[in-house]
Amino acid sequence: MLSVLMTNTFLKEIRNKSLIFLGLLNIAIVIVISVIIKSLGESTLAQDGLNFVGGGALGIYFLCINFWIVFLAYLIGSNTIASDLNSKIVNQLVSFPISRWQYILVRALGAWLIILAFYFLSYFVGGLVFSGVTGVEVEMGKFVYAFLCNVFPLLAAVLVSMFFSLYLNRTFTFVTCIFVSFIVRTSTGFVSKMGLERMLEDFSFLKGLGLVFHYLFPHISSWSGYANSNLFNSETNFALASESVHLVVMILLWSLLINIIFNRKEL
Amino acid sequence: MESIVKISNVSKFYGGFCALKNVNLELKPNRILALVGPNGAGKTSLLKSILGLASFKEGSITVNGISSPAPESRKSLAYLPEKFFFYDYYTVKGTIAFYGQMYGLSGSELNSKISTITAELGIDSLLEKKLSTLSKGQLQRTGIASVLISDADTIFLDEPFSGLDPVAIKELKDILLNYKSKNKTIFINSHILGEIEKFCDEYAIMNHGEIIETGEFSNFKDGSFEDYFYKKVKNNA
Repeated sequence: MLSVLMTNTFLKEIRNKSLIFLGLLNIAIVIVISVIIKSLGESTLAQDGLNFVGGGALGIYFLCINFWIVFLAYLIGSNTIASDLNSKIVNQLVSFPISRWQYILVRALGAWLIILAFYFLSYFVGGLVFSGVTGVEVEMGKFVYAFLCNVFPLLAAVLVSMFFSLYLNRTFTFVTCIFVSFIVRTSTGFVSKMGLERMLEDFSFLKGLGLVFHYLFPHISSWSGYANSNLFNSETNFALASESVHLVVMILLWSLLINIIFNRKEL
Repeated sequence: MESIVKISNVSKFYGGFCALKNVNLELKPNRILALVGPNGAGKTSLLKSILGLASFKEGSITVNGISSPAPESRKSLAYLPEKFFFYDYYTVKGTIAFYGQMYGLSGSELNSKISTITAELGIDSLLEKKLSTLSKGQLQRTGIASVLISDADTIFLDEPFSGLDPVAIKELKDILLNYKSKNKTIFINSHILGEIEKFCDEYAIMNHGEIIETGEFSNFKDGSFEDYFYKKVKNNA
């Protein structure tokens, strides 16, 4: 029964206009940059220059993917339950002999898997095409590790946007997610720079607010930054162990919150 | 005879407004019960409470002995909302198949049931059509087919005649009587009194969140229930 609902989630989200748009944009970027690099290689650049330009383009492409995959997670997460609620189809779905948490679980996992499939295709197919055209060798270990770093933060992004979509319409949910993401990024920067002890000294309302955002929301952009720093060998002060624990706690917490709120919802 | 649905002292409030006031009702097996009442009487609130779609503050509801809203209580029931709607990119066949699969059907059994039910409802020529292209009546028939394919012991229909033409109403009544003859139970929430009194067994009149009377349609001569209902509701205003 849940597998039938999972298939329904895939069929629903695969039609998401944002997903289709970003998919087409990805293809267009890959084709355009590949054609430009190839024509440069045939005319002016030596192989070393081609490798340099190709490597740079590949880096920018990955940065773009890692950037907008989070936006896509917010967009799809904000739509997956909200569209069922708005159309009242949810009444029919939860009148089947399934519990509400099973419905939420299937919708969240389905949305997450669709996003991962899109991410995987963009990342690996794009990477292979670039590599094939330019001859740039991709360090597969780093490539895969950077991909894996973003896998669970994307689930957290889906859950956060699903939560807001229980209260707000799709547009406001998306805007709120972006806004919260910005606040979390800022507060996380402050906390990691100042340290918790200094944050608690001369405690103020704004510092308290910063701590609330820091501890109660997933650090999605920090994970994305960590993935990119691994990919491009740049330095990072990302605390992998504590951030991993925080991420797991956040996924559980936000799943629980959605479950509690949705269980109480009159349909 | 054990009741399929037993509603005991159920009350429900929306803020200060009492939507259901100490409701008691039983649905017995192999019967067709019609819940009737004016707009805002609380019929949909009661139906949603049985199905676990809405919570209630006091009392209890059991379906086949299992407390609602436990998912197990919905194992042997199916529900058709007043305005059936599903994802508009689904075809008629895909929609009915989804419902069948949700009740454990698959393969040739599923296909055979889809063929039989859609032929009975006169929508067998629409199987490959998308829901977005259907008329209101065709969409409602698709909803009815989706419920019937479940082969659930009890079906809950919220305004099933809504959007159907007279021919379709007659056909639906025949289909429901045929369904009942398979030892099934039907709960109907309807405004169309003239239609329900011709084929339902029992009625429950609801007004201002209360069940003000229950009884058997067999006690009324043809067409007389409508007048009786009108007087009853007026006196209860």
